[in-house]
Amino acid sequence: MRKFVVVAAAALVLAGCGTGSDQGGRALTVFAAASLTESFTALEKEFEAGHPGVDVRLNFAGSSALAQQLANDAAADVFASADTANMEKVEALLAAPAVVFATNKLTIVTPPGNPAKITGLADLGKEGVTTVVCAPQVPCGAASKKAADAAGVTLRPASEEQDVKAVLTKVRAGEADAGLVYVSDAKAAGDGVTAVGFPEADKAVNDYPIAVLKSAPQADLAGEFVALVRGADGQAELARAGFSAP
Amino acid sequence: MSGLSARVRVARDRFTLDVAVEVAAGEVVAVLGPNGSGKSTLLDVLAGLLLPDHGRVTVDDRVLTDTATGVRLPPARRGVGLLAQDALLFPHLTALANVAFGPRATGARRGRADEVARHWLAEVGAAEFADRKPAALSGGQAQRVALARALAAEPGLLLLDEPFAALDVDATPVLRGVVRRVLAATGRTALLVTHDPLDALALADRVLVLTDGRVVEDGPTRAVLSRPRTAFTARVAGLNLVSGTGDPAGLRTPDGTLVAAAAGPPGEPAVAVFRPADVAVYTSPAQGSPRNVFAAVVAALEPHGDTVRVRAAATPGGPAWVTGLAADLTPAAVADLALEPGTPVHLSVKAAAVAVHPAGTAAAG
Amino acid sequence: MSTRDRRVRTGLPVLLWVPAAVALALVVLPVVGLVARSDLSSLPARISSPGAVAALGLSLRTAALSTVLCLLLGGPLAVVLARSRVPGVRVLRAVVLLPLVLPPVVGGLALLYLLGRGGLLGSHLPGVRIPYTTAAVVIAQVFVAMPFLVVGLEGALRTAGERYEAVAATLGARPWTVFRRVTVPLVLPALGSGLVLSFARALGEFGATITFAGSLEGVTRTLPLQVYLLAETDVDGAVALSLLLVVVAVAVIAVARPRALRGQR
Repeated sequence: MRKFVVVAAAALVLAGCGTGSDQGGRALTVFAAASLTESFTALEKEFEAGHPGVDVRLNFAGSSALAQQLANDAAADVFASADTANMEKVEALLAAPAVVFATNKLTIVTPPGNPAKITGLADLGKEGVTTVVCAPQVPCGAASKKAADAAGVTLRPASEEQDVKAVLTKVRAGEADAGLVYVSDAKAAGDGVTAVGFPEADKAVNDYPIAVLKSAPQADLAGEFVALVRGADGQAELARAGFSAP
Repeated sequence: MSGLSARVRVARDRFTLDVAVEVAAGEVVAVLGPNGSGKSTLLDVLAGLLLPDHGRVTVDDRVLTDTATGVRLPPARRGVGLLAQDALLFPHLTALANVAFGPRATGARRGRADEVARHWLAEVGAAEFADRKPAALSGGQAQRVALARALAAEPGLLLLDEPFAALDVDATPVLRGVVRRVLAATGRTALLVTHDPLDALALADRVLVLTDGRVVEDGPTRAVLSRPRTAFTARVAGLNLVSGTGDPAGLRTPDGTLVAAAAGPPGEPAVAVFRPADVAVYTSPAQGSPRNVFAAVVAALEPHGDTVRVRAAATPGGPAWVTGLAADLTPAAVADLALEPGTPVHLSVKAAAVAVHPAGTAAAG
Repeated sequence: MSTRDRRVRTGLPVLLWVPAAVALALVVLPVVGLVARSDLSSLPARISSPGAVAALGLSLRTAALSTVLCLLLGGPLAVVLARSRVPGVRVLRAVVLLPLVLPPVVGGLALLYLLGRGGLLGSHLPGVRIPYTTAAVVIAQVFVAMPFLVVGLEGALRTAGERYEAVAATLGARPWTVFRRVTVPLVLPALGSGLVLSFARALGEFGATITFAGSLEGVTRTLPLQVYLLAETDVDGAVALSLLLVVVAVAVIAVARPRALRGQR
């Protein structure tokens, strides 16, 4: 009996962690890539203003983590991924094929003021320049490699980081002369870094697909949210955050 | 004259140790004193574990500490050995290695050090334990090894700090015999701190009594213990002591009571001393004999070997010096008299059993 | 055979068994989950991949070096903390615990702002680059692992007390002889378990390393960093390397821990 109580209590705690309560109107659950944090948070307010009684719940994380959660039966209405590979992992769970709603390009970032005088991708292969990039195993690293190959540059990174945030941390601390991140990330970092664009970035454009899930509890609202993202207001918000139109 | 010569003054919050101690070469001196009298402080100063405020310590004419000239040899260079209450054998070393520690630390090669260690283990009768670790030794065996270890370092002065206090009752006499024999055989200069008058009687040539940081008695062991001049000495010697003024008829206490005895030094400070075994106890006043009779109440009953020691306390309003007097009775007598704490009694002692000694304030400082 | 086996123990309150069982499950079950999730047939191939071999080799080398540094630096520190009567030692004792309570990532940032190019010390070391080097990995590991050695050793030194040392001194032993022949042997069991804990902590170190040293195969990417990277893309590979880490950790504990405990009593 005592054991049962403990187990039951543990189960309740775990359940509480997983889902919120459903009181007060309808809730729309959106799984979105972490790089969409600023723009989707702005769109959440707009959507809720246009749909009284509806609560939009945003779940931001790495695209692969979100895809994994969906594969493990997490309840969601909309999934917005930072790459097509992770969207393809959950293809069978989608109500309709995903559509690309934004693209993101790479940019070079340097500490404020660009003390090492970086002007293009070729500088990142030079002796004496400390470069930090994403590891090739993760999407931003794969894109970096693609861009470098297109430019005919061999990168000589001092470190291959796990994600864009780690690259930004090193650059912001002044421990790297240059790093490769997405334009949207550079924008979010504000004055902490200086962005230096380069033409080869066009060779490694990253597509952001969005889709409604087959099992969406709020399928109609989900469709309307996707329409908002793809519409004029959504695109303006995304452009503000540094994304390009598809 | 070589040996130990020490003048030491250490001031603490509410206590000052201020003593002069001389121990002739080869002499063994016992230091007796109640807790807090400064015995441990004295030993720490001699061993170099504590720096005195003022003082000078020499052993065999070598200056170990001199606050006037700033000399303070560290423990390792003083040649002062220590045998404490706990053997404190190094737990990771065998008995042999423990004894060889001193010779090796002072530069002897391993073979030579082991040879010296075996000699001293044999000297204290512990040769058979050479290969044992301390955990496999009894308290008495460990203390023997510790003695051998202290001696193997060839100290100019050996400090014995309550060396038998932690031992079983059965082990104490044996080890006391060992220490006596070894000290006599090696002619070691030694200072022995103890509670037990038997230790002092068995081992020491001379006794110092320390009270409140001062030497209050100093003399040959037997004389000091049989003619105690302070209540503390009397108690450790197992004697009753009443202080007062000498009188032709014995001793006059401050409240005017006469303790009948052989004549004391008239008008001089004196103490009357008598053994608890010579004290009889009655529940009604005894009459018509040349006895001293003091009214008292029973404070406590303590088993004491085959007898029961009755500790007395003053009666309400009676003279305070009665408190602490002791009488030794048989258990049967205690039962017959139905004694228990609080019982009013009369303590009786024959005048012939009372000795009166002059109690001149002992030289101190 | 021994009488101890027959002795009746005072009963253990039943109430303690339930949380004890939950605690044990919390430690054991995740590892079981890891084993259950792994694809045993592909394990050898995944563990022997170049990335995994490089990470394992780097981890073992850096953790071993860190442990030696913990001994050479942390050992003396423990002795000073336990024996010194200098005022302020109590404060130092608390400061030493800092890496235990700080999140390792914070430790990594702190190291970066000390030894990095713009750091307090780093800016005075022109031509010396510490971040992104194997040395940075070792520094990060020493930072997080040393308190384990210092705390355990200092406690043992205080428990052992100074009485044995005083006796050794009266036998004619100079301070260094006392330290070598009495102090060190007395705390040897605590020293052993402290070293094992430090090695294990260094082996598992992640947050301070990735923040301060970065992540580059063969230079700074230790086994935990490799696992974290693979978890993003190749979950089976991550699981396989996690198992490898578990095996190494269990091996270290199994080899060293009982010996350290036996002497303790």
